[in-house]
Amino acid sequence: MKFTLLAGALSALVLASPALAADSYDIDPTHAWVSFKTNHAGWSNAHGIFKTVSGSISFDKDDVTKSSVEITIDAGSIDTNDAKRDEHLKSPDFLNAAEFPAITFKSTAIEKTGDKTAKVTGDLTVVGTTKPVTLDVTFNSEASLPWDASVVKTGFSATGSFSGPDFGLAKMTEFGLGPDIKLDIDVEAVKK
Amino acid sequence: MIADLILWTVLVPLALGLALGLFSRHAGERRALGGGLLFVLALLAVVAIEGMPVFPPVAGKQKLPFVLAGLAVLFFLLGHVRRPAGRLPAAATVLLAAAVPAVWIGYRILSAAPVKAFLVFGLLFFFALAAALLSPSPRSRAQGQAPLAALLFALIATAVVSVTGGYIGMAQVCGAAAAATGGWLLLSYVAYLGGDDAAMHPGPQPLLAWLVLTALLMAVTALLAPSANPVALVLAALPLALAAWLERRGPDLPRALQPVAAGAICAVPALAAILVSVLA
Repeated sequence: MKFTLLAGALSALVLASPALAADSYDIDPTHAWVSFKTNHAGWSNAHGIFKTVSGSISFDKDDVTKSSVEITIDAGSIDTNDAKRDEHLKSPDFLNAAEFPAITFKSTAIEKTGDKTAKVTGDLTVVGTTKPVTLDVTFNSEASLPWDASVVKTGFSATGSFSGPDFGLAKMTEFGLGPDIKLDIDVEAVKK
Repeated sequence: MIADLILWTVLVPLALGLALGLFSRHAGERRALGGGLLFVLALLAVVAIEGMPVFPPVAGKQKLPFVLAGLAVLFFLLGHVRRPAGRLPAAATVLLAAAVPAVWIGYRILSAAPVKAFLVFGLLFFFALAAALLSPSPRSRAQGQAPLAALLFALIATAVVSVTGGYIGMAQVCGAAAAATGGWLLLSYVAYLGGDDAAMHPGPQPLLAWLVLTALLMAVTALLAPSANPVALVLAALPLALAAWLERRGPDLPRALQPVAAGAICAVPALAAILVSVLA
């Protein structure tokens, strides 16, 4: 009887442990910055940011390869510091925000590259086209809010790039942009 | 970039419009096939401007080349119909041939934006009404000088509305359609001055094709341009109302000036559309 109870308890512990190892977080939309830059006809790099970002993170500090991340970006929230240009970028010439309002990234594989760094590969969906993209991610820190110890925040920085025309953004070339779009991401996430 | 823009949005379509005009002048009974050729020309312009079609199409704009190919087939078939369509069949042809593709292209937006849906279907019904009014009538005193001039100005105005609405690709397509229409009108006006009174009417089936193409491009602009001005788009369609009026009671002017006057009158609401879209 004792053996059965012990075996049952051990089994439950083993089964439960992977779930317990990973912590769940919601990205704080007020502290999430997804910015990008792309070559503008050789003169400069045009910069922009998406103002509305949400998502969730499952972060396993013991084995980061078991972590995962999902980010959703509102394509219509693009801001390049010029309202007319933003309207054009939302049009079917570029992001087609009315038909494809969400840009998403869902991780599919994570490779640890250092104590606090990893390569996160995932499916990036832009304008209805999905292709794998790899981000270089750094885990910055995790701590409670100074004024509210019950709220724990963690923070990551990430960089990566992809070719716009590969995602159907064929007009980029015509307008002297790209072809590569470099991403610079910083997000803070609140532990659930 | 600018040279490419002028080449593919203006010069090549203008040349193709002139070629279509030559076809209309010399094809005899096969002139009715001009409607199908118009859509082939539009398809070439879209491929030149937007690149090779993607299959299967994902976004609404990627469906446009397939729509144009389908309409080319439809109007090549209609071109074999000897008798001109009556008013009701003409209106039904324009309504269905433009509305079915517009719904396929923009169903995501139609379901989410009721104002855009109202505008699009309002424009399509207006074009169907125009098709009925502009269909051959024994009471008509003009020789069809106004309809294509009206469509030329409607397309120019729609191109500007598309630019100010943030969708430059569709502005290029509308500009190309306008340039082709201008090419056709230029050649036909020369023939008109040479004594051919009916030279400026493309024929019943090609006129329906032109109406469908213009209605479709206006509908796609209304659907896909992020901030296309709805008042400007309504004004851009109004040259057709003036064309219907001109076909019945046009001004008594010297013969050579009649097409010019028809064009000038049809340009008025198009200019208003341009002003509204630029100033709004």
